[in-house]
Amino acid sequence: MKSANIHTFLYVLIHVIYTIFEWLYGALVICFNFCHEFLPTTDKSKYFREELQKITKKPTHLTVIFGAEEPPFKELTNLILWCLATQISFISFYDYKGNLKKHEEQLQYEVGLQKNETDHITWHSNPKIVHKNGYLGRSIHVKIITKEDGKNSIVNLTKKLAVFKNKDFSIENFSEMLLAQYEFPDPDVGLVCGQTIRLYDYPPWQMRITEFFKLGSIQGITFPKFLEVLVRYSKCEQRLGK
Amino acid sequence: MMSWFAEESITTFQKFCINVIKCGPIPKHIAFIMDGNRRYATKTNVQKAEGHLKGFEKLAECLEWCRELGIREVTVYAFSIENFKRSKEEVETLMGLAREKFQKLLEEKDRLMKEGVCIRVIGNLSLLPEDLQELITKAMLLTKDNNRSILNVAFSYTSRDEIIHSIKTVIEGVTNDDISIDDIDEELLSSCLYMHKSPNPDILIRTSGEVRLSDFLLWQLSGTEIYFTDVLWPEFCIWHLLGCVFKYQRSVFSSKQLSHQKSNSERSPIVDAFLQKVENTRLTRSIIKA
Repeated sequence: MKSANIHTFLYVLIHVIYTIFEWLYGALVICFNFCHEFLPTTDKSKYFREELQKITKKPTHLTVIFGAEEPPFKELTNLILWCLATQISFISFYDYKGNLKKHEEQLQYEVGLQKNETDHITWHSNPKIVHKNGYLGRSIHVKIITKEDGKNSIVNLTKKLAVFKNKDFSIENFSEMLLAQYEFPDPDVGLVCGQTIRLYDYPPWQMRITEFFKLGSIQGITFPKFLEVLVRYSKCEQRLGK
Repeated sequence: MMSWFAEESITTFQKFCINVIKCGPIPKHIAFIMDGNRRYATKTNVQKAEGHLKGFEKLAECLEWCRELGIREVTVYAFSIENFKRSKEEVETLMGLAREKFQKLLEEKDRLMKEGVCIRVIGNLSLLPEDLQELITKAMLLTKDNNRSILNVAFSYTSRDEIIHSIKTVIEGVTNDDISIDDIDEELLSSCLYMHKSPNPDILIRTSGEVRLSDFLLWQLSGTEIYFTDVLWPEFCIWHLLGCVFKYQRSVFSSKQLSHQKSNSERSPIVDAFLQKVENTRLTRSIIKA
């Protein structure tokens, strides 16, 4: 009985100490970011140029995964603009609660206000829209993913195949059939918001080789942080089983 | 030869710390991507095969730690279908190692039964050499009714292959009029996966600094806490494991409100009968093989 008490006491103690430590660390990060804002601008652009040179490989599709947090429009708009600036062609946002999908029009409006006139943004909100190519300026495809795009889309495709009693297909065939609905290539980079990496029913088929990076809170994402992820991604080496 | 059971790999102090951590919530099911055996071999200047052997020793130790912690189920990614693309020599070494280890497992039968360990190999076994298939099936049949601790070994496995296998099983059910198209749902597809008997993992740990899932348990990781750590698998130690469980406990506290549990809805008798049939075919097939 006595040793059990010691165990419980220590258990509570380490969790309390860790909580305090976490809180202090959080405060320190806020201070640091605050000071960072006041760096002279010349320094900043030099720093960005240096970082950009380190990026040898760019993701085609970057996806952002939200947990309990409500996705804030300002940060989402920034992410879209940063992807435009770094020539990433596809960006998607996954909100398992589905709230983002409901407010998609508002997001489209906000992004419309911020972007350059020549920038072209293709929103993949309805599957049936025909997308035109051949714009001169920078362009990007944006999609908001919901839970429906995940396991459910696999269920629906299975039903379709079952109607024709078709059992003669390979992994590649199935991928192509899913892609026809999904329209986006498999994501190369997954930014996960939150203190731990958790996927909240993210479309399983698509995340086979996605490199995941933990963001912490989405509120804290700045351009330097975004660049840092791209630099880290460009260092990832995929051996594809070998 | 190295056994499946690591003897006395836990010191008194470690045991004490385990008991402290055990005061909080403990994951029921933990999954590992055991990456870094070859990098470890290069780093310490030994043969690749030696690295893989070290990796296996680590697995035995790790199972011991999990048992001590009270984690009932462990799933490990041992060999991916993609790994067949490696050099012929290395694939053969790995197959040889597997052969040796499953042989050893059968030799340690008494211990296995005493400890109540159930071994399940998940994956596309038809891609493996005939004799290895036989050994694996024997081990699975022998331990299938044990339930104190469960070890799933993903061997010749990829998640996409598993999902496609499940889809084809379901479509066959429709073709044979066992089920109707309306019976097809997420639950049914989950029940036809190789891993259908296991709850989804609470934690996934991938070692050696890689930050992707590499086609492992994509369907099952929907609500899992994922930890990527830089340590190479042969250097993974009990403190890394305890650290992950500690972080898991913290996330359990903070995410209580958004519990991610599946609702256990009642299955229709038709679907039940179909799943029973699938299970029976599987069992008959393996009895024939063994």
